[in-house]
Amino acid sequence: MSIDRRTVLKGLGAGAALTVFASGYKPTLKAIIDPPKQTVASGPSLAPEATVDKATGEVTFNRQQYLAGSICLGCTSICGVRVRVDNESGSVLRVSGNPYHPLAAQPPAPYEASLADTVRALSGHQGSGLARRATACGRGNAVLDKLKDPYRVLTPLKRVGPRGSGKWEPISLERLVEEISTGGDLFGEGQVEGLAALLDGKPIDPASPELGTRANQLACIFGYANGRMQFFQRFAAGAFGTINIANHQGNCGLTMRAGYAAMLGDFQEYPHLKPDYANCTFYLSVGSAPANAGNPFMYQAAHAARARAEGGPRLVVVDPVLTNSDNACCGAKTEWVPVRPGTDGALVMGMIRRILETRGYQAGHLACAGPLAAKNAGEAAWTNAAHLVVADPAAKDFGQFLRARELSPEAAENALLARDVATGDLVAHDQAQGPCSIFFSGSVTTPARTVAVKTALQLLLEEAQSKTLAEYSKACGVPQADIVRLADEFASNGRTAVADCHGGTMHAGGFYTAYAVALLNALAGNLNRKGGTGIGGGKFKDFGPGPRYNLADFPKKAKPGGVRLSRQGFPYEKTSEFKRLVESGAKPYPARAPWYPFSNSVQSEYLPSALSAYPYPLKAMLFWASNPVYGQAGLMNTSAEQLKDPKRIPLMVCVDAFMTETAALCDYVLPDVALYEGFGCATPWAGPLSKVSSVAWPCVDSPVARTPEGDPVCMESFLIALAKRLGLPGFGPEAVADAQGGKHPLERPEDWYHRAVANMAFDAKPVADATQEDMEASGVSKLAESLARVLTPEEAAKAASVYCRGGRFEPVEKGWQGELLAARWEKPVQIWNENVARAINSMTGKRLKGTAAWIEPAFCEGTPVRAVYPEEKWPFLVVSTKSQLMSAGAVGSKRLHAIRPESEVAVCEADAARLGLRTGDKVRLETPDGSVEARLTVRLGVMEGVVAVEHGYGHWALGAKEMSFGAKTLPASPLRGAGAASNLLGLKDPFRKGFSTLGDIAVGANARNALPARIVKL
Amino acid sequence: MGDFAGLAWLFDAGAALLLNRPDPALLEAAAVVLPELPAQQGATLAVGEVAAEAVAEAVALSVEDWSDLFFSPRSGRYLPPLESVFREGRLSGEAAWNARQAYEAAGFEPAQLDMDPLWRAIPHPDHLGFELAFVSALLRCADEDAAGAAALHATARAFHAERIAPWAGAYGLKLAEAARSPLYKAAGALLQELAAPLAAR
Repeated sequence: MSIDRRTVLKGLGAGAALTVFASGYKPTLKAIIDPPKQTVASGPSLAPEATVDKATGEVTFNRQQYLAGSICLGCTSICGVRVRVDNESGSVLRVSGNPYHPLAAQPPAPYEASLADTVRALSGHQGSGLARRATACGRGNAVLDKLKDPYRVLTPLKRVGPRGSGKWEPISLERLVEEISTGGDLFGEGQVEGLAALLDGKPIDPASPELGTRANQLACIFGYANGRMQFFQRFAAGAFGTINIANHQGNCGLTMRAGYAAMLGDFQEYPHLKPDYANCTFYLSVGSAPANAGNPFMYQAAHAARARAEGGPRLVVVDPVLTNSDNACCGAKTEWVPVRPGTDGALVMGMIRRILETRGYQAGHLACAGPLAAKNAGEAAWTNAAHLVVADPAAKDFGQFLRARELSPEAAENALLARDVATGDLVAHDQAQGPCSIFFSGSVTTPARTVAVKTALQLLLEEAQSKTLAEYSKACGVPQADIVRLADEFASNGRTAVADCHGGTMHAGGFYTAYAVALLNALAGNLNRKGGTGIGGGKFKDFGPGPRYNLADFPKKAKPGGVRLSRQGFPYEKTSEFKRLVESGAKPYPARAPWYPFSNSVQSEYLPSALSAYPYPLKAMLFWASNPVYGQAGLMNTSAEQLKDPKRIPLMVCVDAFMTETAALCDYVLPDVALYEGFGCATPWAGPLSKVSSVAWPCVDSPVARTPEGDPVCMESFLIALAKRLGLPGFGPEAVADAQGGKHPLERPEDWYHRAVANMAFDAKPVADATQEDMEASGVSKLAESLARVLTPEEAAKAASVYCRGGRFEPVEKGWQGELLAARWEKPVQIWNENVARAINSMTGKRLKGTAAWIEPAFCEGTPVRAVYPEEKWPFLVVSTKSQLMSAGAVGSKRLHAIRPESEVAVCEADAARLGLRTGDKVRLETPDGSVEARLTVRLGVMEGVVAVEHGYGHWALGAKEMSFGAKTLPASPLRGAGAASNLLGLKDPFRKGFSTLGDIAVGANARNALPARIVKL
Repeated sequence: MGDFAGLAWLFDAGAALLLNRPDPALLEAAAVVLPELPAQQGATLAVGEVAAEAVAEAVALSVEDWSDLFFSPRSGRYLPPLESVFREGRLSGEAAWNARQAYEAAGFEPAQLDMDPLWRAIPHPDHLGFELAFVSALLRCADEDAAGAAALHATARAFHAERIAPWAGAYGLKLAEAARSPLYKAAGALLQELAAPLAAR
C-alpha cells in the first residue's frame, strides 16, 4: 500500500477540506448492533404484468395489475403508451409503448389482436419479443414522476398577496367561477370586470368596429393538440365567442408551419409535410435532428436509427450544434453540417440556386401547371411553377398571378395563366393538358394590356441568383463546395430526396428559411410520393360531426369575428386606424406594432400586445396547459414587472396541473388532470402515413379536488361550470346532438369524450366489440359504468374496444398505394405564393417577397439584428437546443433530474481557448436584453461563435420558488431551478413601440435562436 | 485512536474527492496526503504571483475533470462513479437497490453528507463516494463503540466486499487514465488502494 501510516496520520490533520462529515453528521449506525425487525423487501423488480408459456404461448395476466392504453404528454409528440397500473394502490408502476400504436411500435400489432396477443408478441414465445417491442422514450418512461409531484396544484387557488408573490389560498370551484364571472373588488386593489360583462355584445371601440365585440377582450391561450383542445376551443370560440384563442405555435415552430403553409397554399389549416421516413433515400434535416428532437420524435428517431443500422436514407443534419443524430459509428450514413445560427436559409437558397442552374429539379413535374396536365403525366401533385406572375412594378396587380379571365371571360374564376410548351400559347392552368414553360420572363398581351410577366419558377431562380454561392457560403459558414455537394446529392436522389425543418428556424428570418426548405421538396417533386413527403394519414372522426354524435355544432353557437390581439390574419391596411391616418394626411407607416396578414396562432404576440393595449386592451386572459411566460424568449426578462401589474391585464386565470411560471403570475389557478389521469383523443403530427387516433382515459385517479359529480376539478369541469354560470350555449343539458337528432347533455367530461370515442369506433367500418378479457386486462372495466351512463350499449361495447387499445389505428400499410401515398395533398404547390406577395410589412409599407428567400435575421422593419448588435460587441450567437430527455414541463421528474440535473451550455474549444474558458467554469451569458449564469461545457460539436443552451431548465416556478397555500408552505426545490433558462436571453424589438419580443419579420414567430451574445467569466 | 481510525479517514477522503467540487482548499488537503499528487498543487500558502497562478491552473484543470468525468455525457471522458453504471451498464440498477438497503438497515443517511449540490440533486445510493463514506462511518463508529465494534467491522467488511472491492479498483484505474489533472489521477490511485479487501488490513 503506497499510502502508509505516516501519510494517514498527516491526513488526519488535513482538516475539513477532505472529509464528507465536516458539517457534523455523525451516524451512530446503532441499527447494525441492534438490528430492528426485518421487513420484507420485494427487491428492485416489479412482478410481471403477465406470464407467457414459452412453449405454448398461453398468456396468464397478473390480476394485480392492468395495462391501460393512454397518451404520453411528456412532450408534444403525443406517442401512444401502455400504462401499467397496480390494481390495489392505483399507482403507475411503469410506462412503455402501446404495441398497437405506430409511434411506439414498428410494426404495430394488428388492431384485431387481443391484449393477450400483444403481450405474447412482446415475450420470448417464438422469439418475437424484440421485433414486436413497443417503446416509450427516456422522457416517456420517466415523466410518470410528475403524477406525484409535491408541487402539483390540487385545489382551486386565489392569490392573497400581490400578483406573483407566491401566496395563495384555497377557494371552492363554485366561488371561483362566481368571482371571475361577476368581477368586483376581488383583491382589494380596485374593481375587476367580470367575464359576464364582456358578453354584452358591444364593440370594443365603436370607432374601430373591425376589432369586434368585447368578447374578444378575453384571450384564451392553450398549449398544443394534446387530445383535449377541442373542448377548450368549444368554450372559447363556440360558446364565449372570442376570436382570441391561440395555441403555442408562435413560441414553438410557427416558422416551420408557415413555410409549409406557404408552399402548400393554405393559410387557414396550416398543413405541413413530413418525410416518408421508411422509404426516402436522402433526408436533409435543417434545425431538426431526428434522434434528438423534432416531431414525432420517437417515430422518426426509430426510423432514423433503423436506416442507419440497416441501410436506408443518408441523413444530413444542418445545425449549429452536433446532436445525437450523427456519430462516428454511422460512418457516411449520417453527416453533421454545422451552420451559423439564423443562416440556414442562406445554405438552402444556395442549394436551390445550384439545383436550378444544373437542372437538378424534376422538370416534368414542375411543368404540370394544373390537375389535367398532372394526371396526363402521371404526377401525384402539381405546382404553380409555370404560372405567370405580373412582373411590372407599376401594375396594380404586381406580384399577383395573371388571371385567365383577363384573356377569356369564360375562364373559371380562379384560373391562372401559363404558357403551353407545345404551342407557345397562353393557357388556363385548369385547361392545360401538357407541359407549360417553367422559365419565362417577357411580356404577354391580353385584350386589356401588354404586361411584363415571369413564371413562378423564374422568380424563384432570380431570387436564388440574387446572391452568389460564395455570398451564401460566407453568410452561413458552410463551405461553398459543401453547398454544391449537398445540392447535387439532393438532386441525384430524385424523388426520394426529402428536406424538413422545425424549431431551428425559430429566428427572426425563419419563415423564409422554412419556405426555402419546403421548396426543396417541390423541386424534387416528392409530394404525395412513396419515399417523398406527405401530409400524414390523418385520423378517424372524433370531435367533428361524426357517425354517432355531432360534437362540432350546437344551437346558438357563436361566430367569433374581428381582429385578433396578435394582429394575425388581418391586414393593417383594412383597419380604421390606418384609414384615419391616411385621411388625416399622416403617414400610416410604421404601425405601432407589426401586423401579420397570413400568420397563424402567434401566441408570442398575446402577452406583449395585452401589456401594450394594442390594438386594444384585454380584460382577461385564460391560460390552460400553456406556459408562455417561460416558453417565450425575451418575455420575462423584459416585461416581468408589467406582467405583475393588474392594471395592464386585470384578470388572469390559469388551469394547469402544476404551478408554472405563467400560473404563478395569475390571479386564480385551477388544478388539472395530469398525464394518464384524464380523457383525450389525439392525433400525431404528419409523420404516420396511415390514420392514427390515440385515446386516453382516467386510468389512474387524480389527486385533485372533486366536483359534486365526482369529477376531478380540471379544465373540462371548470369550463362546464363557467359556461353554465355565464349561460353560454353548447354546455349543459341537450348540448350535444346525435346523428338522429336526439339531444344529450354536456355536464361532465365523460359526456364529451365517450361520444368522441364512439364516433371514432363507428367511423367507416365499426370496430369489434370489446371482449371481457381485454376490458379486465386493460382496466377499461372500470369505465363500464361511465360508458353505460353516456352511450348506448352498442356504442359502449365498441368505444370500450377503442379504449382497450389506446385508440384506433389503421394498418400502416394503408399509408401507401403503390408508388404513391394514400393521403395526398390536392392543392397546387406554391413556388410563388401571391398571398405572401400581397402582404405588406406594416412597419415599412413595403411588400413581402412572394417566394423563398434568404433573409438575414432582422427586426420588424428590416434592420438586421447584427446591424444593431454587432459582432465586435456581441461575438456569439445563442441557439437553444432540444434536450434529449428534459422538456420544460417535465421538470420535477426525479428520474430525469437524476440523469441530467442541469442544462448544458456549450461552446467549442476554439472559442473557449480564445476566452480562457474551460469546462466547469461559471460564466454569465449576456445578450442585449437578458442574462443567465451557467456552468460552461467546452466540447467538440459546437460551431465556432455559437453558444448552445439546452432548453427546459432554469425554472423560477414549478417548485423552484417557495409557495404558500393558506397556512401551508412548500419550500423551494433548488433542483427545479438548476441550469440556465435560454428564454431569459431573448430580445425585444427596439423598432417597435410598446412591449415586444423579437419575432420573425413575416409571421411574428418568437425568435429564440440566433441571438447576439457575449460570455463573461465569473 | 487505532488503525481503523486512519482507515476510516482514508475512505472519508476518497468520498470527499468524489463528492466535492475541487477548490484550492480541497487541493491543499489532498496534496498533504496523496503521494501521487505534486505538493505544489495545493500550495495556497505559497506566496508570489507565480504560485497563485499555478494553484489557479491546478484548480481549473481539476474542475474541468470534475465536469467532464462526472457530469458531461458528451465529453468523451464521461465516467460517472456509479456502481450500477460501471457494473451493470444502467442507472439505478440492482447495485443501487442493494446499497440503499444497506444504508437503511444501518441508519446511514447519505443525504446528510457534505457534497456538491450537483450530487445532492442526484442521490444515487450506489455513488462510490457514498459507499466509501458508509464504510468510513462504520469504521469510525467501531472505533468509538467497543461493544459494537465486532458487528460494525463485520458489516464494513461485508459491505466492502460486496459493494466496493469488485469495482472500485477497476474504476480507479479508468479514472486515473481518463483524468488530465493530477488530482483525479491521484484519486484514481487512491481508489485502487481502497478496493483492497478490508479483511486483509
